[in-house]
Amino acid sequence: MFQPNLTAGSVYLLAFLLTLGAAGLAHLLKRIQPINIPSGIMSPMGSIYALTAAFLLSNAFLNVSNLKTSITQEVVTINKLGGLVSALPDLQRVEARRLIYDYGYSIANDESITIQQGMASEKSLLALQRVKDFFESPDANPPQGKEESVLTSNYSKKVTDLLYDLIDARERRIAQAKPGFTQALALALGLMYFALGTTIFVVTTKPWDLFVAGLLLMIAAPVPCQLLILFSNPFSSGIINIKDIFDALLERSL
Amino acid sequence: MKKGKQIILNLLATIALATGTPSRSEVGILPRSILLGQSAAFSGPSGELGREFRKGAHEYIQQVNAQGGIYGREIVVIYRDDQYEPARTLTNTKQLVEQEGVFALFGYVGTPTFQAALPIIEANQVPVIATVSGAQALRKLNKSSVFNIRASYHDELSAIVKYLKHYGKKDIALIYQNDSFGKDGKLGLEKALKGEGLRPPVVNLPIPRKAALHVIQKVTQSTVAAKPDAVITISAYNNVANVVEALRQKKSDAQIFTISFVGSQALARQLGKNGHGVGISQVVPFPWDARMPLVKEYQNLITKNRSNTQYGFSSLEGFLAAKVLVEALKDSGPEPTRKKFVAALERMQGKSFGGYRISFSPENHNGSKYVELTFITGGKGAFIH
Repeated sequence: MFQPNLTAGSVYLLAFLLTLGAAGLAHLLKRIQPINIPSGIMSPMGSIYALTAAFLLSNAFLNVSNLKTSITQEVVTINKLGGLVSALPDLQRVEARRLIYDYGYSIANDESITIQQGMASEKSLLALQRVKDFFESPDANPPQGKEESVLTSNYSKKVTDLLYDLIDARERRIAQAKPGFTQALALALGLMYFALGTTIFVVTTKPWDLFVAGLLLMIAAPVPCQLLILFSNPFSSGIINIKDIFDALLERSL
Repeated sequence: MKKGKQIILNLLATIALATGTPSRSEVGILPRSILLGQSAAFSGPSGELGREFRKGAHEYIQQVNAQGGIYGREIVVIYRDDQYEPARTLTNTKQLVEQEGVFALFGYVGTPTFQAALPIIEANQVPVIATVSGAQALRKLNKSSVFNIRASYHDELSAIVKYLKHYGKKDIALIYQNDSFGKDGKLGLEKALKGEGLRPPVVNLPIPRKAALHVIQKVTQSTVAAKPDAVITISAYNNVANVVEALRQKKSDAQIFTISFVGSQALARQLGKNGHGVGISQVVPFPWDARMPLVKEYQNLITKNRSNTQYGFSSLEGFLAAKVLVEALKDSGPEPTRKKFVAALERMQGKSFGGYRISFSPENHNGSKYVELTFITGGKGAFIH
């Protein structure tokens, strides 16, 4: 996996080096033999670059969107479980809620850090295990013989479904959290950038034009790369702030 | 002519009585008002308890007054801040009883403070209602004029021990305030542990009312060394907050518990993230759970009054206390006396205040045994129950 701890500065440094390389190659090619490629060639080259970046970006957007859905489902499920245990007697209800919200707390304060590296936290796993243990124990059952209410009807099925939902959402979140900006994708973008840069320098002849074209390329062309890095690593880049989301869950008295 | 004037005056007096126009008849009962007194901590380590209690009570009293008061008399509460200092409580009580001439005392906060005021109260036979203390010393005064609404500390500790035992936490450490409040808690814990067939506390460590940080560090060091499953701290919120922080620093994974007197919201706010998971026993229903009619009424009133009162345990306790007080005053009739007021309270047997039952009798002045466990959750002062 490509570890994309790349800052905006380092992306622009790479772009600068690639631009220099492209300018050098174009200069060399022109010295070998005069080149008369029409400037219209830049249009398809630009389109190919844009399409490649758009394709990669759309995948990253989709991943972020799926992650947000998983996290929302996790938060909603925790709240639903917290509400559903109202059906239990006092002692059992408060213990169930304590365990459920401990799990939420461990995500907010521990897993929010480990997930930046795409990893689950031991504390959260333990907290989830405690929730599961509780719901497998006799304490998770509402008292027998009490009149059924909206809350208690199909209680066991509701709890089972919510627990599965919770585990499912968690697994999806962890799986999708792994940094998705691979070497191959980085190489593809780099190659496209280099090809586009070389084309620009080949079709441009006047020194001032060359300078302006190089400058514009350097300013604009790394932007998709920046976005790709941000969206491929939504937790470390701060696009998804899992700590704030789970902290908000714990702000409500229940 | 003179006889005719007398007839008219008699007629007016009869009309006045028939329509319930108030007249002076008892200490603290004025033509247009009923004087009550409250000496409590409105500042200092337990200040939040007193302030929130007062706010909750005020919400209800304000409404009663706006609707015409009790048989035309407004309830007027004279507040005195004692900062949880027994000497100040004594001075305040003297002033309230002997100089201000209050009809009854209401919402005293704390055990040592109330005990300091007790000689004045007993000497003057002033009715006292809704002390914010669960100490046994106040619950053995059945023949006196003291009426406790909340459950005792022993009831709270019994609920905590039952919970801990049920979830396999049997080695319990105790850190307690070295005064009548803490010692009462210690006794209650020992009784509860014995009742559940558990060992006595693995450590029993007293701390002063205003413990220095080095004392807290020493005490928590000894506690952690004993490796308890749970630590119960019985003290005011600044001490409890320091104990919790010290235990967290020492990476103790023992379940921490304290009792309602701590001032739950003040504690949660002070602890921030360190507060997550700290258990607190409560003597009133959960103020955010409007399924209980009492809580619904409390929430509705706060909304209606558009006040800055936040939902909370202490303000709900104040609200409940004010409801009981008003009910007893109404039941004392248009010409209340202290005797009638005490009798009215003693007639409350199993009376429901929006689902919260109060039972007094001539032999029992302890109204409720209601206890519920809560835990602080997150770092922004929220609770679960």
